[in-house]
Amino acid sequence: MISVTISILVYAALAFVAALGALEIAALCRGLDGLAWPIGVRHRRLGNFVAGLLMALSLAGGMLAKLLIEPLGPLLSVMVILVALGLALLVAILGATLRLRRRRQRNSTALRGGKLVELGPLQARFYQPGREGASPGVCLLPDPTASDDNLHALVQTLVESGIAVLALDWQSLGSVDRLMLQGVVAVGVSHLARWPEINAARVGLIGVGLGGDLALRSAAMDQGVAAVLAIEPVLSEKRPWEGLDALSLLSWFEARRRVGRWRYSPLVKELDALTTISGISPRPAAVIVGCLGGTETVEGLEILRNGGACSLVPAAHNRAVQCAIDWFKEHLV
Amino acid sequence: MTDVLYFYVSLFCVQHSLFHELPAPVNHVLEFLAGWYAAPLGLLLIVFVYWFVGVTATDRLANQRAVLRGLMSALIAWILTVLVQLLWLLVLRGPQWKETVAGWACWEGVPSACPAAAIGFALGATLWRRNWHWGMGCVLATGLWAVAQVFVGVHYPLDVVVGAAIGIGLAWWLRSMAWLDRPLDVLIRLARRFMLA
Repeated sequence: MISVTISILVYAALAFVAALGALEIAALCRGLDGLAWPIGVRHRRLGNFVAGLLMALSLAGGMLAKLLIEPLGPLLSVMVILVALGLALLVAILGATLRLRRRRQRNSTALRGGKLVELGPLQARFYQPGREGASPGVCLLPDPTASDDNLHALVQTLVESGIAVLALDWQSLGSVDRLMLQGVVAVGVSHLARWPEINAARVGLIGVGLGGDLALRSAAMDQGVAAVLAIEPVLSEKRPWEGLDALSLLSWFEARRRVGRWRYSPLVKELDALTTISGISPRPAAVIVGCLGGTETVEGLEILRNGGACSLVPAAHNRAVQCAIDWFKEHLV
Repeated sequence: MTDVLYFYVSLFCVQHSLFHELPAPVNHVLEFLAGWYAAPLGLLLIVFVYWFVGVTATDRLANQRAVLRGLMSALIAWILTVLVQLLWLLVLRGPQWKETVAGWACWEGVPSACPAAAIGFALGATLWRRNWHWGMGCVLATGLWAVAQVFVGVHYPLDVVVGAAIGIGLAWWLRSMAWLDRPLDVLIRLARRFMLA
């Protein structure tokens, strides 16, 4: 009995090591940072080396174990390997979560620079392009359910393209409901329009995730908005599950948390962005989604596809950002 | 019946006698390969990685369907090999068979379909029809496993042939069942909910 237990433990440990290596290879192949452990997808060569080493170790260990301990029977052996695979998956998810959390702590996602603006209870940051004369401006609405999104790249590229940005910070508000959010957006838009260096006729809205839903609804209500762009809006609580792709930028736990927030947030239903789209016409409106395909227009709404980006962290994807800039250059600048 | 059984156990019997003349380290490697650690782990790791790879979402869905089909055919193939063994045991019961086979040089016990070949070729054939590179990996690992089992004397060479026929046949049969896609898609959707597909 003891020898069988020892055999089970030894073979399980060896299979676990090999499975970790295989998972590392799978994560590197697909660029799944949320599954890559012990090495992240940024260090592909090292990751492949470590994965190969783990599998070679497991094979050599198996040969050695054959000399020292009792081999397992067919059924028991397969069960031990399956359990080891499951454990390896669990450990890879946990390890990658810790690694991504450490990285997140090192690289703060809060927006820096710009000018801090107080809009009643709301704080915002204003970024102005360096060029002379009145420039177009956009009010940037982060996802109210994921206020720790990294929006640096989006803000920086907009400003470099000559568009002023007023980035709202939901964290300064505490708990929010639909009416409060809409009120704050209206204040932001009017504040931007009154800014001396901004062309009041060319003020737009850009929203990310659930912020995109808010942007579409606010644009329908506010005629002062010249153009509106939503990056990966939620639109419906029946949105399909993101799946493994979410792990390309997020840890498994973070991805589950974000999907859960979108799925169960009352804001999705209350904002009901789909029904408000007709109210925006004839002003330009567009959404950027992560599916493959070209550009198309549906009832006054342009649909721009950016080629399979992770929809849970839309603003972190270069193609989504470039898509947004190109669209604003066409409709606002 | 006796002739059929004699033909079955004595075909390629020479390989078994060769095994005893091989150097000890080679025997050790063969015994290691014939066991239920290296090859099953290799096969499961191939399937495990194949679940995650794929350039587009459509590719990945097709890969995941192939993995589930492969696992299903491997499981059924394993059960069938057990049934084949039970059938042989039923046929060869009684003392008269013991007397008959006692003088056969190649007799190593009651024949059965080789589960290693059945499982491995079921997986390999399923993956082969989706992507022959991955299928080839499975087939090579299984080939090594089955040949090692024959050399070690765990199975007769024809056991491997029967096992391979069961595995490949089942894989082809399950692959042609288009209606299976629906229940498999339900499983894949469930895995998607947990960000695992």
